[in-house]
Amino acid sequence: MEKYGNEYITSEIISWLPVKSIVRFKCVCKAWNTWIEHPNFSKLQLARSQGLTRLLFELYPCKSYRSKKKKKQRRLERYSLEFTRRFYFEDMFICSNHCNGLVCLYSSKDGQVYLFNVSTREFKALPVSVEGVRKNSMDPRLYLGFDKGKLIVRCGRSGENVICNDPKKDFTEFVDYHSDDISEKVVILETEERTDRPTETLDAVLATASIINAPTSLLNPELFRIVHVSSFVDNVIPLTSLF
Amino acid sequence: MSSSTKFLTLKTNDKEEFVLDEAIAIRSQTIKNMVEDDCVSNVIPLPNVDSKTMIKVIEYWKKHSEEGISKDKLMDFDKAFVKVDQSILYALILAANFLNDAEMLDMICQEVANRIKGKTPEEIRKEFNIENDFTPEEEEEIRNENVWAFE
Repeated sequence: MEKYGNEYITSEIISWLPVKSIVRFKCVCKAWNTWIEHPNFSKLQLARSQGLTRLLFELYPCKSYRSKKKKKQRRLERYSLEFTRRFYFEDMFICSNHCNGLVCLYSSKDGQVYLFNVSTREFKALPVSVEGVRKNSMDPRLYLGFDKGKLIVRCGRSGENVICNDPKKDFTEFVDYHSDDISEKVVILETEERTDRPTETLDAVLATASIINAPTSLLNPELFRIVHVSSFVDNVIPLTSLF
Repeated sequence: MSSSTKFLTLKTNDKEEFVLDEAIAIRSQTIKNMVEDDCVSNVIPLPNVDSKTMIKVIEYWKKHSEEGISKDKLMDFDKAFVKVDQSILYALILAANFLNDAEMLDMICQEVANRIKGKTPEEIRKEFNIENDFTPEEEEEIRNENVWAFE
């Protein structure tokens, strides 16, 4: 530590590290562990990572989740990127899980579903109707997942409808896939043109838990068990390629 | 020389003197505060900076004060600027911190972070000269909580 003169400088350096390194360095010594777990450090680290590709985590609540629910929500309040399940944005609210920085919003005004990039705050209308999955006038519940670089949106609990896209094409093309159908329809967003193409096997990772942009303070094993992180760390999809 | 150009003399801890345009020197918030509070006598002592480090700092300040320099050129300059021995980087961090130049401090901290991001906790301890004050059980517990970060 003498090399760096003071603790302030060391924590400055750590704040520029990727989340994975930060978490690994918690066991360097007690002082580092204390800084890294401090809320101010999370804030600093979050500010540093603005504009960078974020690491995304799939989090499953632990068994003791219920009793700690209040605590968890309090922890989330500080982060503008995080929403509660009933987050409202003007006439819209979240109707899906978070996935790689994206979330689906449902507009109660026109019945349209939008993809929302929580980092850039950009919207894109999904070219499908979700009226079919609104049962008993309940609002739709969608599931977002990534499969080999494709974004998957599943409408409804039984998976009637899956849409995916190729991020390389800047979100201009959606594939409209029906599970009881053998073909998928490609929808070009600009022209609304639809063409058939053979179905690829959809080995979709459809998460029932949220995948969220996780600041370091969320990596609290008391609250969450983290799964599948390494695969996401290696395959982080740059948000800029999506919108 | 324009009549508004003022020069400051900076004296490092090894008694070297550097004469510098005030407009450039006030990239340092520390020096700027001294100038604004009018407590600058002839020579500004910099007790925490040696001359070798100060030469690098002035090189950086001059380049970043050039009029009309493109962002790309500055990025190239910064890239080359940080390609130095670890010990020089550490000296620059201390200097940037003392001189209170946030831009330079951030850039060099990022470079150090870049160099250490792939290291193991053991390598970090060696690098930063840190003693492991965890018991083996405590360390094991932290590792088990974050297995993914060690893969």
